[in-house]
Amino acid sequence: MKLEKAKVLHSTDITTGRTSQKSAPLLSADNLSRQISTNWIWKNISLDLASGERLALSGASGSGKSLLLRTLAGLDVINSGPSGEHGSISFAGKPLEEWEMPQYRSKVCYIQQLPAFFEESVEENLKRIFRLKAHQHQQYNREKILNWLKELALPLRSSNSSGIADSSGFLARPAKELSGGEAQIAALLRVLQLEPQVLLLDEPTSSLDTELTKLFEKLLEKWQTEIPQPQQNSPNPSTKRAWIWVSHNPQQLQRMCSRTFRLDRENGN
Amino acid sequence: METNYIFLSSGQLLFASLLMVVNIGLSIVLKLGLTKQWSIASLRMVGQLLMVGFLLDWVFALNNPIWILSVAFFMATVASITAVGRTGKRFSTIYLNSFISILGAAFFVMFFALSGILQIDPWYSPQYLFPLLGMVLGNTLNGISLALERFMESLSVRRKEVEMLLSLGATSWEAAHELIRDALRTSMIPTLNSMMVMGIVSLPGMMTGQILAGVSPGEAVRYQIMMIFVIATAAALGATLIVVLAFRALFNKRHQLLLERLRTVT
Repeated sequence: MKLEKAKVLHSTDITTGRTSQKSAPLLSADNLSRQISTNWIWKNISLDLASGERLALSGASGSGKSLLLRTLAGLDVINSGPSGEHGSISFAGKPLEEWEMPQYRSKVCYIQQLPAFFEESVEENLKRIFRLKAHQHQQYNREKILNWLKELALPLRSSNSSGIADSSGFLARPAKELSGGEAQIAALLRVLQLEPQVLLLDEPTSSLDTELTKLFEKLLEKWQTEIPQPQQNSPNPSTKRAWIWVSHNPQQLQRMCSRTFRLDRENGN
Repeated sequence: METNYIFLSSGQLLFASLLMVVNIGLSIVLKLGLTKQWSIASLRMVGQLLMVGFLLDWVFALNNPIWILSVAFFMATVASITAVGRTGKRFSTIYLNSFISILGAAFFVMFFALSGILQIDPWYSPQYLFPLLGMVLGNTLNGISLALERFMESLSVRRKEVEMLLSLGATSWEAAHELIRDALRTSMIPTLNSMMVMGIVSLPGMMTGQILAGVSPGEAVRYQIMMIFVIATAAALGATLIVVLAFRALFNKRHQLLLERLRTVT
């Protein structure tokens, strides 16, 4: 079986991407394959993400890490496998086909490595998401965003009037003028304010300097351990937040994740 | 109708074609490399128009609704193929969608004009149907190709924006809404602009044709006014239809953007 390519580094279960926990996984992918023209990027992958789990996704460049995140986010059509087998994804015990896609994606959020923004201020970009039907039960909360920005601000940066440290100034800046790192922070806040249950992070700190990366990690760590306020259409109020983190930095994955799923092209084919 | 205008003989047409000597001469002297194209274009233009004149004379004489509708469908088909021909990207059902959009838009405005405004009897009277249809198709074709090209281009260029919205819970309509609006605005602005300066900067062809045929300018502008309303609506309707159809072709029910369905034409 091709499942063997999933090597679990930190946990005891070494053979598959499955967790050794008995409880039903929060997000579960079964037998996923991805083909681009005639090449199989990955074949017959299965992986589980438990409630509250921090999973690292690693693999060489071109091993299809982003493609896997996109597939888990429901952005790509699920291919049939090499012998025609059907891949499937389920979330909170319900198969993906039974989820309204916008509902699913508002709980399982994918963050692009190079985030996209509209030509308006950072704050307008953050607010605009609440106009989507899937988020109409929620409201933009400026206080929350400012608090997060405060946690990200280094004392050193306060001299810089429009950097992250000047929180309300940051919100007023045109989003298209943000530096790569600032854009990654704005993109993170844009997602966190939606109270998702699973984050699919694609190299989320690739443009951040070391100091800011540490603060970014601290913020996410705090967010992940928080118990979410019960929501109207939350599938299960006791669900703990979880993520799948893609990074080229093994130290970061060690810090931020408790288990690793390896996607390796060489072993796979 | 009064016939106080000059019939053009074949000799006069030949004389008119001498003007192409200027174009071809410019091409040779300035090395524009268009000598062959000017010749081919002239021959095609003359051949196609003579053929259309012949065909329309025949259809006018038959005065049979089935033949008239067949020619009308043929014209719509050519218009829908031409509209797609100007786009740089294609998807598999693009020709069918273009045909549906042109036909839908043209049918609506033609019905409105022939049965509603002009109240022609019979409704298929070729003297009215063909000139109107020709202008409607020409303008709808422009509207459709502008809207289609803009929509597909911005889907590829702004893909990340669209997928960002999708990945945060937007429906495909919410994610593409801005691009749809942008494509429709782009397609409608030429019509709007030309309406704004109508009669000042441009004297429309239909009106000048009627004046040449002996109709008084005061009467000719009335037809022109009706015609502008008709073609403006046809172009707007056609553009809206094609963008909605292209949207449905490039997103699926699972709110996924299927850009792999777009092929770039070289």
